[in-house]
Amino acid sequence: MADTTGAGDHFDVRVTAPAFAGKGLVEQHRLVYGALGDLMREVHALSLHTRAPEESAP
Amino acid sequence: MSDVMQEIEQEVRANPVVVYMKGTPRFPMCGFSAATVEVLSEIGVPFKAIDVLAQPDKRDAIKAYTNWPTIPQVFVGGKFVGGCDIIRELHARGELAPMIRAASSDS
Repeated sequence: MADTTGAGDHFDVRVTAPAFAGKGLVEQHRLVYGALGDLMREVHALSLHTRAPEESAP
Repeated sequence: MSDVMQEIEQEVRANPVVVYMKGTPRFPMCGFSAATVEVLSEIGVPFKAIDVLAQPDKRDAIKAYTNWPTIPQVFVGGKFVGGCDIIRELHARGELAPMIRAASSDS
């Protein structure tokens, strides 16, 4: 994860998780948004890159 | 379903490619919206852009419609495809242009 502006509200996040296997990108991102929950309200900008372990790097 | 939700449903069904964004394609008001429009423009198929900053009720309604917390949001063939990161990734994989061309030629 990278804080892209240093202000604590713009982040670039890479997530690799077995839970993503067999899921489309929309479902993968929804899992991350769901895990962040209320934190999403405080984040102004979130860049997400998700993949399952067996996929090649995005 | 609220009137705004119905309007969204009508918009995404009536247009092969729709982007809900902040600002307009000429004057995007957010870097993610700008990047998304850039990818869509590169593909070269006409798309409908809806400025949620000009329609505040739609800004909330679109998030509820898709259960997706961020804007921009792109629809192809009436189906929610994703936000900026997903659009960029599908484009990098070479999957976005065929999807958009197929949806556009169906209409």
